[in-house]
Amino acid sequence: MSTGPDIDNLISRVGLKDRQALQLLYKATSAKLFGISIRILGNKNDAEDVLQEIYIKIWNKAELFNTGRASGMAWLATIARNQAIDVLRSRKNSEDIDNHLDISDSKPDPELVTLINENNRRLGACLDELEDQKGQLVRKIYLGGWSYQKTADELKVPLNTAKTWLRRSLIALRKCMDR
Amino acid sequence: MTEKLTEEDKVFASEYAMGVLEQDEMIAAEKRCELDPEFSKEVEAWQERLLPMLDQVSEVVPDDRIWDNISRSVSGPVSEAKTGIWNSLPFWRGLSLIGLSAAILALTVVFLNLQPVLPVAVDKTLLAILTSDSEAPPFLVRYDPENSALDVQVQLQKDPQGRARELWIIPPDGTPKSLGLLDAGNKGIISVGQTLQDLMVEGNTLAVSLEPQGGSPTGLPTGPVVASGILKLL
Repeated sequence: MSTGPDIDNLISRVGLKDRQALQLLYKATSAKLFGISIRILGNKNDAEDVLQEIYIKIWNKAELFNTGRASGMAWLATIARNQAIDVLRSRKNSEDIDNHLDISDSKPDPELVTLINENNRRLGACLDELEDQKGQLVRKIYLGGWSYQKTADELKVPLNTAKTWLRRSLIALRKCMDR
Repeated sequence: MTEKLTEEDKVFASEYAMGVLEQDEMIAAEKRCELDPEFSKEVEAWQERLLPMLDQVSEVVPDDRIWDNISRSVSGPVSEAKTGIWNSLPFWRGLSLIGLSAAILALTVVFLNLQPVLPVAVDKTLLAILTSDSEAPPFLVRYDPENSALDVQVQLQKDPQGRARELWIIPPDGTPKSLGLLDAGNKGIISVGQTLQDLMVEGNTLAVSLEPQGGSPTGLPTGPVVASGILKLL
C-alpha cells in the first residue's frame, strides 16, 4: 500500500474529475484492491468484474471523500470490500467457492510495504489477546467477507451464538485498542 | 441535534465495518451513514481500526484490459461545452422520459449555470423545447420579454436541399406568424418585433418549418414542420 498523503491527494483530485489522477491512483492501489477482492470472492474472474465496479465507484464518489476523517486507504479499502461483499452475498449458496483459504495465509507478505504504525501493532496485539485464539478467526471473517451465517456455519454453532460471540469480541477489541 | 450513539449503534457500526451484515442490513447502514454524521464517524473509526488486517492480503496485479474497461467507463464529457450537452441525444431522451415540466425544471438549473447570452429577467423568461419526430435532438428556445429577444440554442446542419428554416409563433387561433429565419451553423438571437411580442406568451406554440431560401413567400408555412414546442414560463 502506498503512503497516506499521496493517496489522499490523488483521491481529492479524482473528486475534481481529474482522469490522470484516477490512473495514478489505480497504478498505486489496484493490486491491493484486486487482492482484497480475490480474497473475498475466491476467484479472479469475479474479482475482475468487481475491480472495475470499484474504480467506477471511486470515480463517482471521490468528491465525497473528506480528508479530515477516514484515511484514503481506509476509504478505498472500504469501497472495495463493500463491493466485493455485496457480490458475495448475491451468490446462491451452491455457487460459493470455498477456496479462499488457499489464496492468502496468515503470514504477512514480506514484499508488502506494511503500515508500520501504532494502529498496526496495536491491532495485532489486541487480536492475540482475544480469548480462545479467536483473533485468527476474526481475521478470517474480516478478510473473507464472511456473513454472520457463514461464521455460524464454519464454527458449527447456532446463528445467535456466532452473533453474540463476535459482538463480544469486537467490544473487547475496541476496549483494548482504545487503551 | 445529534443524538449520542447507543451501545447498539456502536455494535452495528462495528458489524458494518467488519463486513458481517447481510445485504439489506448493509444498505440500511449505508443510508444511516448518509443521514447520521455521528454514526458515520463511528463506522469510519472502525474501518481505520480494522484496516491493518489487510496487510496480510497479497497484492495481485490485474490485467491491463481491466484499466481499459474502467477508463472507457469514466470517459465521456465531464465538463460540457455549451454545445456538447445540448446535442447529446441521451441527455434529451433522458429528459423526455421525465416529462416536459420536469424537463423544463431540470433545464432551468442547467441553463442558469451557463453563461447567459443576454441579460435575463429570470422570472419572466419563457422557454420552449422544440422536439421533432426525427432523430434530430430537441433544442431549446428562450425568450426574454424585457428585451423582446429570442435566443435559439441550436446548431443546425446545412439542409441538403438548401432549404431555410423558419421559426413561427402560433397563437390559439392557429395562424402562424413568422419570427424569422434560423441561420444554419450558429445560434441566433432574433429580435421580436412589436406586433408579435404579444404572442410570445405561455401556451403558444413555436414551430420550425423548412422553406425556400429567403423564407416562405406566402407569409404562412409552405414546407414541412420539422420541430415544435410550447412556450412555458420558467
